[in-house]
Amino acid sequence: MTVTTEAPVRQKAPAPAPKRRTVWRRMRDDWWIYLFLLPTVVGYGLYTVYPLVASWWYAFLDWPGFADVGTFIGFANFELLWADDLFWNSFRNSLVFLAIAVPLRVGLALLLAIVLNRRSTPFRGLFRTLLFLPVVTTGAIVGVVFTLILDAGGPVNLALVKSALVDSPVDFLGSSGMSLYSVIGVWVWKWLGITLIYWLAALQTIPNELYEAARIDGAGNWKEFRYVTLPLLLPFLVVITLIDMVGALNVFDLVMTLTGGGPAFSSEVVEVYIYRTAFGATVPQLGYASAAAVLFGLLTMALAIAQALGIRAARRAMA
Amino acid sequence: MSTSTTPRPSRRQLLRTAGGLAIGLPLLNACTGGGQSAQNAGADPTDASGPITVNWWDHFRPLTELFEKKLFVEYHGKHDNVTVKRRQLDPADLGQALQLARRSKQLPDVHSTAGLSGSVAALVTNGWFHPIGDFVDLGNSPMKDYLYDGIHRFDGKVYTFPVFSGRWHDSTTWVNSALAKQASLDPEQSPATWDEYRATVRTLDQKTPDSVHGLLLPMKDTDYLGGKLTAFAQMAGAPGQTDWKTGEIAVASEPFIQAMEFLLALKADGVLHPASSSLGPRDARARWAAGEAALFPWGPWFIGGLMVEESPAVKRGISAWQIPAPSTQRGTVYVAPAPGSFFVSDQAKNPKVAADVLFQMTTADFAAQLATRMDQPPILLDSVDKADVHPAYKKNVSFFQQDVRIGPVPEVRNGGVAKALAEMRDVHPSPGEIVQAVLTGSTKDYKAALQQYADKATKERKRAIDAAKKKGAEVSEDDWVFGNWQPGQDYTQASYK
Amino acid sequence: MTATRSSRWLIGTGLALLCAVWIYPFLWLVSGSLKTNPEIFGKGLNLLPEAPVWENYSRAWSEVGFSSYMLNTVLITLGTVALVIMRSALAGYVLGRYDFVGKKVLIGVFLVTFFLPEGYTIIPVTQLTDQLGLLNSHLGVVLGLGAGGHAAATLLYAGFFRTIPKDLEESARMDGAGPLTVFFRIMLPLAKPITVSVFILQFLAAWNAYLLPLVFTLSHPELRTLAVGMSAFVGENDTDWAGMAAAAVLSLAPVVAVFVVLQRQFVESLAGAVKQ
Repeated sequence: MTVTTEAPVRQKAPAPAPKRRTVWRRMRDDWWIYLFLLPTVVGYGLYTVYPLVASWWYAFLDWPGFADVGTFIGFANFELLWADDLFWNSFRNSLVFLAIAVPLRVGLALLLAIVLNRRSTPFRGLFRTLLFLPVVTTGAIVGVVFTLILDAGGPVNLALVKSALVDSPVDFLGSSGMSLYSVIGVWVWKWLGITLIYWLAALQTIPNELYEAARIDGAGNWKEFRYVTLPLLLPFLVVITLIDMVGALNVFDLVMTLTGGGPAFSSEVVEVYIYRTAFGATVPQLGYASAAAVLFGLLTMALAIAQALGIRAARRAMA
Repeated sequence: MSTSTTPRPSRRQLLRTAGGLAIGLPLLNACTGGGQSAQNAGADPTDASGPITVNWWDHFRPLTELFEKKLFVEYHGKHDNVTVKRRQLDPADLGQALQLARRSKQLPDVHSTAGLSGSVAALVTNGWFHPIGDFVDLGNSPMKDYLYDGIHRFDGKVYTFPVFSGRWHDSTTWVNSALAKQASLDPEQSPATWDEYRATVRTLDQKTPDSVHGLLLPMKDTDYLGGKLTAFAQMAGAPGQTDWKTGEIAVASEPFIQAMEFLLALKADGVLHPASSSLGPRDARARWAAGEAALFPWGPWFIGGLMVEESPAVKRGISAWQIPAPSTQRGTVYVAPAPGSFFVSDQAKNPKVAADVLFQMTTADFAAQLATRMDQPPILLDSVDKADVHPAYKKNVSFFQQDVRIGPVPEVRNGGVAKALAEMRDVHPSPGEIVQAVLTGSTKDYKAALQQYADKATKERKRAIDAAKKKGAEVSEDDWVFGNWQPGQDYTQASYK
Repeated sequence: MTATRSSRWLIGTGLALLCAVWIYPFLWLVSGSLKTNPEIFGKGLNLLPEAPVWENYSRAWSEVGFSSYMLNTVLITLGTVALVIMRSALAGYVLGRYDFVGKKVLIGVFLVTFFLPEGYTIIPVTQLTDQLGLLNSHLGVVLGLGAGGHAAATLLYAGFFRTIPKDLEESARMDGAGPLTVFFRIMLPLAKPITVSVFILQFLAAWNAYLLPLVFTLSHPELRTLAVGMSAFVGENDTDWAGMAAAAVLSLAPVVAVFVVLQRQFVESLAGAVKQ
């Protein structure tokens, strides 16, 4: 490990090859490279790219789920989808989920990681393990346990009422105003541990000498964090946020066991919407469900690009 | 879309609609390769040499023992090379599992269709099932009077038969007798009107300890809520979600508004268990069993389920209350004829053996056995009288005899209707979803919401009819009109002619 | 000195409180697994059962086929992790160190599919696996979980291998070693921190996987993984909360034990991985 970290970074590709090799020639010389890539190309092609292409194709079909095949109907699914209030409702819910859950998970985990990274904090290993526990718990169990403890007569509400924080029990999962936020809370609880570990790993990359230097300069906790830790963590922030966002798009089993998307669609995220159209309808609509998936994919991608452009513009403006 | 076809959405979304197949048959044949597997046709099941395993999926938890300890064992006793392997799944999971299993050719030989919620006709059209009429002679069984075109028989071929009676609803109030006595009430006395019902629930809520609530009304399952709305509306005089006299979708009519107001009044009375909003009916049953609420409205299978999971709650004392009506002028709950419960899959390896196992369920002896499990009442209803069952179960079945009538079903009269149903997309929010939204406080204007549903559903029905016509089906909106339908009467096989 | 000591204890107490709240659901689960069903909601905040009902555990053990679920899960998880590590390391190695025809396309495909949730593709993947004749086999599940996706692991390896100096490899080549030998003898061992991180992340992903193993083992319940088996248990016994809690505790215990033992190494290798 030490060898590699101190090594100079080289980006240039292999030894100075004779220039102007033809494409064919290059491919033949590099045969072993393709051998190395073979498992990935075959596996990725079959299990990721092909299904993706297939679901794009399904999006243009009228395919009632009980039939073996569908019939081509062009953009009709997308036209219906565009006018479907419930699709946009689920899209909004997914965005709210992303916008609240991801920053919460990333931020809270960072805070805890900083505390747990300090040598002076007692029982660091124990706390780390306890916070990590929910990550290894399967979704079905989490769903059932939380439905019971968040229940109006459950322990959480008993504690809230007894401590006089609220007058009457909070309907965490059964009111349309609360359900989405309750699911967000449970999701952050379940996955915080893994983000915490990412942050701890990131923090360990900061050499201790930097902190010592800051101390000697008389920097307090806040200043130390603001001027030493934070700048060094920024690159990790991007990666960790990205990974957590992928997770936030896969909340299906948790939502299903906690609220089923209800009440009154208030916690229905796009994945649940797709599931409902593909499996839960009187006559399942596979083409329509695929169209919803494709449209959602396009919209998220557009948002991601807009965000990236925005960040770039902001950086330019700062510089 | 159950609204347009059956008088009310049925429990467990089981086989809600059905349809004839005049048009569907060519497609069926194309899909199944004729629907027959030559090597099995005509052979006696016992002829087959070597061990045969019949895989079997269903969702009838209270029947686990009856199936696994009795029916299958007895069959194995008679044909020792045949073993039935059963899996019991949750209704919703079953639907998903069946769809995925079909795509990957993993379907069991026999299955129920809970969770598929759609029309059996659509499944038949798409070649899901193997007709069983070729293997077993249902025409001479006690089932012969209960087989309908478009529900069990498609294009002359019998695919299934009813095991359970269709004459039921899931809005019987089940009473914790011990708590009723605590509140100085006679647990056997049903409050007849909505006002009396509300007053009685209030008494129960007040005269029991604070930890005990009056009524559990689980709101997580929208089908459950839709069932309550329709049943109460029918008690207020509605024919159902469709008005059979005019063929119009009637969910915004006065009786439905009254039913919604009744549900809201129960909520406003403050007698509901506070966790109601986040519970499904099965959770609610467990909470009722734990003594947290005095009353819980659900279907006839209630005691059967309790016997399996929470039997002390039955010993403690349980009673059934007849569904209340707005006034002493009682309405009628209309239901579709009993649908088929089990089907032999088109992917079955030994359809003949599978059909033969199913056939064992057609006897009076089986019906008597079934009655003792106190699930949905058996199709041969007489067996309940003779069976050794809980008095509350018997009482509830007699309520059904008074309150429930068989309504008309469009696809029985005209097979083309099924084709239109297969084109129909669900309309949201559905009546059940509207009830949920209203009770959990996200919608105030339920009149507008119900009207909007009625308009959208009418439009969607028109669109589906046109789409089906384009594909050659003969169907029109008149197929939903039944001029000779008489309120309060059974719409019999003869009425269709 | 006293100031720092008191702040140290303040932080410790704060963390302890937080963790107590955090693991409350687990305490609830353990306590629930020793109660009777009515007792579970009857007793409110009281975590101590009146009299421990050990029978819940024997019921859970016999109803859920734990030993086989556990074995399936371990086999499938290890198979998936091995597959992902092998193919990501190989691909990451050439992506990180060499230029070749089609590299840009490959990276482009990785980026486009980065966000793809599995639920969208379950139907085509099932059909594919069926055509390969691998439904209802451990191999089918392993391929379904590990053959596609996981672009992040490949990119992690690529990033690491890019930083390794040329000399090592070149001297080996001089000695006549082929690319495979160089890779397995020199490069892969060097990438140990990445391998450990990928191992642990994939382990967690495969351990928690639900939809795909569910679909792929529909007609052979004996091939179910723990996540699927637990969910089936919940579905079939949905009001037997005590039995469910006991089953949950049984399914959690081994993973928790593994993590407690391995967590220090986990954090350190992850730190080693990101340091590159």
